Amino acid sequence: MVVMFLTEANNEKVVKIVSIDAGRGAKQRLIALGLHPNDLIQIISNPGFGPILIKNISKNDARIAIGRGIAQKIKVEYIN
Amino acid sequence: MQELLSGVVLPKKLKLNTSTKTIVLVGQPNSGKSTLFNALSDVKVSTANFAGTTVEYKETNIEVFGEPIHLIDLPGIYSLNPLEPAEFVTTTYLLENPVDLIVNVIDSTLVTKSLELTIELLELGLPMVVVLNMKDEATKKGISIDETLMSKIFGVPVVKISALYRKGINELLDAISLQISPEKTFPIPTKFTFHIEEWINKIESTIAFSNPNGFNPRFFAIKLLENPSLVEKYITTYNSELVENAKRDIIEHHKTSLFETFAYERHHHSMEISHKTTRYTSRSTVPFVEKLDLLFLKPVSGYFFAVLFFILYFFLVFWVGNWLSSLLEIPLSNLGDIISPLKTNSAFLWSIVDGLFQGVSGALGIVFPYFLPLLILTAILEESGYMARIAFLMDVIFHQIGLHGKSVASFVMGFGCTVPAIFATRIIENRRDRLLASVLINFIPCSARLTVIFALTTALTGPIWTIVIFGYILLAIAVTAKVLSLFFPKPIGLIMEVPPLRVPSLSIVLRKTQYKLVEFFKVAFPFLLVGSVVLSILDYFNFTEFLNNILQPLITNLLGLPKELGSTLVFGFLRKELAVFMTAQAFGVTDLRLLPITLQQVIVYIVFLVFYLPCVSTSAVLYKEFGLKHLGLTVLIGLLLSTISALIFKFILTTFF
Repeated sequence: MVVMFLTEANNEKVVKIVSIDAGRGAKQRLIALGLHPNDLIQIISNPGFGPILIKNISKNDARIAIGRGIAQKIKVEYIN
Repeated sequence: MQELLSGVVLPKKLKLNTSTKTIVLVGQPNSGKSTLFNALSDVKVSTANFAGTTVEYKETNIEVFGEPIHLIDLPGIYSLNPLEPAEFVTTTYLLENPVDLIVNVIDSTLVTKSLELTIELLELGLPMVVVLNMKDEATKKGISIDETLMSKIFGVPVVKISALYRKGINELLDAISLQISPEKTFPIPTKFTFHIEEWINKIESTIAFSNPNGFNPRFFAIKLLENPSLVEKYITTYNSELVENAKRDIIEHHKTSLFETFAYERHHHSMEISHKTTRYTSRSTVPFVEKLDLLFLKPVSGYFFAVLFFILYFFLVFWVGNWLSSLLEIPLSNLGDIISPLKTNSAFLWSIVDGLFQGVSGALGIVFPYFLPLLILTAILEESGYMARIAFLMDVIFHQIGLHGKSVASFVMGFGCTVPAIFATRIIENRRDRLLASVLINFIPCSARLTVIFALTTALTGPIWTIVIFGYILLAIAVTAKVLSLFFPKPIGLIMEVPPLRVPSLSIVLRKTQYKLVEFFKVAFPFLLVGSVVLSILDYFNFTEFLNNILQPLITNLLGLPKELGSTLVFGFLRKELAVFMTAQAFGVTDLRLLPITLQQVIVYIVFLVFYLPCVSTSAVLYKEFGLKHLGLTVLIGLLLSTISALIFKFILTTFF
């Protein structure tokens, strides 16, 4: 499976979080919002600029907006 | 409503006695805690601030089947490892105050995510009731939760309710009354991985702590490993060598930080519990609200709707304010007629009576009509979840002007009041970014300044100028931000939950509006009256003349405004909305439309007034949070920006109009 950054994932695609390599504060916040490695997420909106909107399929489709800077530190892979 | 009243009797007086039980509502943000609080408390509510913060909590006294209850709505939290001020408030409250029962409110539609907090709360070892709120929405989404099984797993009652539609409230009251009775049940803590569990047990047996609730020592043992700085001050003795060994061993086993290990364990448990208790039936179609929400969030359509709503927002405030203002005109002028015979007595006495009258008519006739629709619309924006969409959309623009993504929320808050907005910048970890945000928030027109803008433009210029002025303010903030950010490092990113879009509950919107209105009449109204009387007396002694003369070089010579406006700026420093009716007062008119100033002068005056100085409360907060130097810098930037802006408008208006 190809591992890429969250910023590179296309709209509508379902991806699995491989790793979160952000700083402690950002990581803590992501985890508090229920985002963990191995979670399945769907890209709702990745317009190529600005924050990326995702929904966490593993967590009842909870929606989270992630700034590009942090999204660049999250590795994901496409599933199926 | 009927269903509700059968169990809850509202007490005559808000008074605490020793037998009163304290119940706290704890839940993640947007879980519907406040809606439940309203459903339980109905009318008698007082809001208070936690010491040292402006994080508000609500409390009330109710009776459940004859038992007096002190009910507290704590700020929403994601976890008991706090990152933000509101989270610190809730966590500290639980650690330091006697609590008889925790009511954990969960959004049923986000049950898996919410259970992570529930599992942490169970660790506290206090009696608990888990409330699965928004049960109707969950059913609509095809989510069914087995609350009996969940209750067996947690060891405490689990109740499904819909706080908004007041369903299941009776069952909840039954559960509450069970959990505050001697037959109450305590939670069964979820077990961690075997070797972590072993360490927890060892540490647990060695610690002593002080806490009014007599928590489970297990909680402190866990937190000593996971987040020691949070609990160290409550723990009187513990074996530090043992804790260090445990930490080393767990880190070695899991190859990651302790914090992540514990978070991951709870995450794993919540997935497991949710898997056992929750069934999903897939939906064939995407609900209309979600389709609509996508339109609000996608780049092009999102901005289109945002601009549309913003314009709508302004026109609504404008027209409703105008209408209310004209409704109040007649009774107020009648009041004026009633008191005018008094004029013949003593000139000094008259100046006081007249000052009072001007104060009342200013507050009711000028400030109130615009304040009311502003409050209602802002509450609707917040309650529907649309505010989060604005923050999401604005993030791109904020990055363009070199700002921290997280500051969006505090900026949006700035449209309400600058003071809490500046407190809200505490969530920005980077100090330099925080300083930058705190300077810029001063230039966001708060509800007081919006009132000034709306009142003056309605009376004298028309709605187009409202939008022009508003557009200019946003542009000026952007330019200032860009210039200032050249001196600051690049911002870090945004992480924000986007709560589901919901039809706002009318009762909550009205309740929120009511809180703010009561606050206005309690705090601002006396201020307005006193200010008006003081101005009137000063006028009697010709002191305003003195102020006007001092400020004349700036007001008249530089900005081309009538010199009477000088003293209004001094009052505007006390409270921004004071300035607007002080203008009426300064010229001795009761209707702003009669002000003897030109279109150009009104606009120059408004632009200057919006930026010139932070109000006295804001100044105090800036001083307290950042120190004198920062306050000075903010004032200086404000004066510069206001003068430059006023001159730009003066130049353009005299040249082209």
